[in-house]
Amino acid sequence: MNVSDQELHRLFAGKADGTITAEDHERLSALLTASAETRRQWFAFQDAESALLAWSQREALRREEGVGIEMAGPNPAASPSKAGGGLRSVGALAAGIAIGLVTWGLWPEPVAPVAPNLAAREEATTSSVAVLARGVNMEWDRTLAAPAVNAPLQPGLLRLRSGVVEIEFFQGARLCVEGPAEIQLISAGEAFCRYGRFSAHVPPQARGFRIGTPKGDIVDLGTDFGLDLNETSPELHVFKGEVELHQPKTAMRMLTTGTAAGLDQNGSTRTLVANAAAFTFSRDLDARVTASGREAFDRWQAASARWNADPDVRLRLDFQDEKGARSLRNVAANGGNIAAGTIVGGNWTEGRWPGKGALQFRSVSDRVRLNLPGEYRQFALSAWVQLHGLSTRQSQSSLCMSQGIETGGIHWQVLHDGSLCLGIVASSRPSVTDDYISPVVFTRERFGQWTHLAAVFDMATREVRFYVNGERLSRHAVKGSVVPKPSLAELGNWMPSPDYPGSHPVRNFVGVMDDFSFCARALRDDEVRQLAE
Amino acid sequence: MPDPAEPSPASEQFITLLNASHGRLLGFLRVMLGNSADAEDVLQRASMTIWRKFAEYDPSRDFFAWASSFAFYEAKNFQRTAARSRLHFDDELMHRLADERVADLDHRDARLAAMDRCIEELDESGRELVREFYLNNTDVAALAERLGRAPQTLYNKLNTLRRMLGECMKRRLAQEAGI
Repeated sequence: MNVSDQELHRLFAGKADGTITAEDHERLSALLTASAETRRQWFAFQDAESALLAWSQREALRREEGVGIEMAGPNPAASPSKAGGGLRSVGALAAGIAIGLVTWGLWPEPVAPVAPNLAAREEATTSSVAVLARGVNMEWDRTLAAPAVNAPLQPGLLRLRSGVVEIEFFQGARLCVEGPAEIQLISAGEAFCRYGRFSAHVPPQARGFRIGTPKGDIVDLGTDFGLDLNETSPELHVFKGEVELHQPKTAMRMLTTGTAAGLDQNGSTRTLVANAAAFTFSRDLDARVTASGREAFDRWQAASARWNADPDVRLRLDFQDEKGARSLRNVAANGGNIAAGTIVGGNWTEGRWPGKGALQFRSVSDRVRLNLPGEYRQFALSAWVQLHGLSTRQSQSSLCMSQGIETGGIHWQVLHDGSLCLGIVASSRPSVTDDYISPVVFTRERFGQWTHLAAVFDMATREVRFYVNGERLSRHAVKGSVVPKPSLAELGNWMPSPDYPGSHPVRNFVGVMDDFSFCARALRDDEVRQLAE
Repeated sequence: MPDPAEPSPASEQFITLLNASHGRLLGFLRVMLGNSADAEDVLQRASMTIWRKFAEYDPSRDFFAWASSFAFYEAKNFQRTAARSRLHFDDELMHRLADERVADLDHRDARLAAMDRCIEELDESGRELVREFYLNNTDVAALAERLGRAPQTLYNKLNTLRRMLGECMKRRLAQEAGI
């Protein structure tokens, strides 16, 4: 097989940068297999890459410190990449999910190298323009998109049959929509509304926010205004600030605080008094969100009591402990010998509804220590989580992982590509884990949304099942014959053996958890569905 | 748990040996996995196994030779579950690369030293491009946006630089071998 040096270099670089196509990869593999000289060139290429990376890092340090430094010996514990990456993304979260999404790609990367992953980068340059901030009794036309609360919204058509939603545009404008309504998102600062009632709040930084209607365009110069397209004669009401109204064949009109205008062609000269009463739906949203949250919380409490009484539930953490508690009570009626979970790091926060407690995991040290004695030929894991992000620098994020890599250990985790993995350690020396991996669950669109996850392991039927929001996602045949034995385990993190002296891979989960159960039975589809309701 | 303030002699010895072999182990893993991030990740995982087996280590043996077998196993395991790309070398090629790389690593230090001098020969704009590329995790798209240049043009330019540097390294090594 003949190949030019240039072509070979292209293949080498593609492999190193992660941009190589499957076809080229096959070709590269064949070339490497065929020739010892090509393999030698590959080794030299990799050493050259090591040198370039090390030089770049030294240069960066030298520039930061402003002085020449001696090249330090390589030190595995000094790799700044792993922890740094995780912590940086937390900053994005503190600023809110919408901001986090836009700035994802703008963050300065830490010094240490990371494999290029074009797929992940393409996702990172999100095309979203807004986020669905809140909603009550939402009913979407399901032939179009039907976003959930906290979902990022891409340009496109949304039809709300009923209910009230609040859309936050990335440019800063907030639009409250009462169904039935149809709205087309155009950009981070523009939408087209065909029908429905809308109430907009446009802060100064979103000046110029534009709403198109069949009767003309509205350009907001920093205000609060209402738009009613349901009446036979559509109306625009300005509550505060200034709005430009552009209509065909009519001079632009400026509306100011307290004024309103009809949008009909023949009514375009009408000027009315702004009537806030017609748009109370937006001010009622707070109260309605609270009320619907309270109802859901009540339903959860009732279902929770039934679930705790299930004789097979060994560990149930409902995260309803006293404020500031440093342990999580095991509220399972039959949890007898299983102790409370111990919180290490991690802060209390609000869960799915007001009044629902939850733990926030953000740093590499945050975790809940558990002890689950016993062997389980069947078990089910269930958790409500809000995942805030996945670092491409970290291959796994722990949901619940046994300590170390001991035979029978269970490793329930989110992989870096957003798929779920249940690993059962088949042998500790040499370390072999039977991994069951689901299709991708956590795309960027799901970050920040409450998601119910369950995994079922059953040696009787020799099946492993994954569930997302109560729906079965995938089934896998059990590979080995080791009986799972979770023993010491952690939620949201992983520890090698406690006396391990070296550095170890970071596995921390970045997000919130407000419900966790371990059940010594292979739950059926309908049982998992109930837990996800 | 031992007091972290007073590391046991075994853990001290382990860390010393691991540190001394760190570069070679990374170099060993890189040729099988193709990139440094995966290699670092695998080395961290392998370090755990190596530590657990450390009691069985015979100090009269070469530490790298002993540890690299665990690293090799870990690399294969890693590719199945956690590698950043789904494209992997097959088992046969992995074995061959591992076998040959052990002896090849004797050239590693000379290559690194040669490359360091080649980088200094680049003009400032070339050096800056190289630095930005590697510091930004070889993310050409983001770099292109920041510099206001087309990604493909930038990537071509970078690859030309990498190739030139690679040839410079080869030339220097040949010269040294000739002396």
